[in-house]
Amino acid sequence: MKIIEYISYVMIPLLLIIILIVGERKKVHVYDLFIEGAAEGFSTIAKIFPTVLAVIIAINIFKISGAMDLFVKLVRPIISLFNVPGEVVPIGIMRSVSGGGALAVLSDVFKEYGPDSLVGRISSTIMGSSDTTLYVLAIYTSTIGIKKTKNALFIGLFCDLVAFLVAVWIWQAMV
Amino acid sequence: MNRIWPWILTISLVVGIFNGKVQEMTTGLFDSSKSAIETCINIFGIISLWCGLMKIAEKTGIINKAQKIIFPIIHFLFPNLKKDSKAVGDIAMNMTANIIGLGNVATPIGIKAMEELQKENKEKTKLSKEMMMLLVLNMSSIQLIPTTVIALRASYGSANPTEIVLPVILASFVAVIIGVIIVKIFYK
Repeated sequence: MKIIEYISYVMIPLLLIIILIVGERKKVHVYDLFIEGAAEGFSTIAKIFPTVLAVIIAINIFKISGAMDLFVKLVRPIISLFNVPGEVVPIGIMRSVSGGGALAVLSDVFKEYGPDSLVGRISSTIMGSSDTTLYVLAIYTSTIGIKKTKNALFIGLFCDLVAFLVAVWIWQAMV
Repeated sequence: MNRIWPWILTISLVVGIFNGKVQEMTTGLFDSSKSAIETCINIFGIISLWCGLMKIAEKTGIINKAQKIIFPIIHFLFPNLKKDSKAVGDIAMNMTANIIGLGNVATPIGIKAMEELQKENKEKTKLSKEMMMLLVLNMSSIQLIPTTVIALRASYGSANPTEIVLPVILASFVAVIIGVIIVKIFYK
């Protein structure tokens, strides 16, 4: 565990050293190249920003208005058919929509049930096993001008559902 | 997005009015613009840093060499990708960053990879098979150590904060495999 953690810290500096040493040996203007490349970052960010804004607005209003709670209430009975405890439904839905929001839901779960309860363990697993599908999809397609992303959204949400059910079933089998 | 976005917003706004959350929603709108800026600033630095480093790596031939080594692994998931494609390096780095848990590094590099893939895309308005594959890998994201969750568990007094590591890997692994299979079957 510690080794993997160490690798994740050391990787970036190591990469930097290799690039700089090779650059020096090949006698290229390393500094000029860096500046030239870094300037390209700006155009990408300028293209991403409107998408990020649109997604964050929709998600925030979805949460604040109480529409999210309503949605959870509607979905709960359906999900319960799969032998899933209702308490883990909010984090399951939030995970696909908003990373920060899901983290807040996870804190609430820990506060109420404790991290070592069945609900706490399942929720932790759901949190760790997926990324924020909606956000990834919106940002990754934002700079290239692709509008038709419906299929990708379905596949992404389907994968989230799979991860969700596996997380629930693993812990139900173990406890 | 053109269909989902207005629907989510409209329904939420109507629900919010019935719930008497009008004031909260107004402040929420302004807070959203603030957090959008924060998100972009977080990515901005890393994406510029990455572009700068890759420029050096490109001109010195490091990328060429690295691509030859990584290519066989990527080739399985992205069979249509050519050996000299610029996307190969970005995809490799994106996957590595995800696996070791550097999510905020993975995202900017993934965006760059999508831009490279779009240059090779034949139908510019549709997602290519390679793009779908990259999206699936990132939407489910296999991560070896979910550090944030472990830290949160520890702060709430868990007796064994890391006991979720294996279940997390298993759950995301199953999800990714199913996603990869779907893309492989439905996209030619």
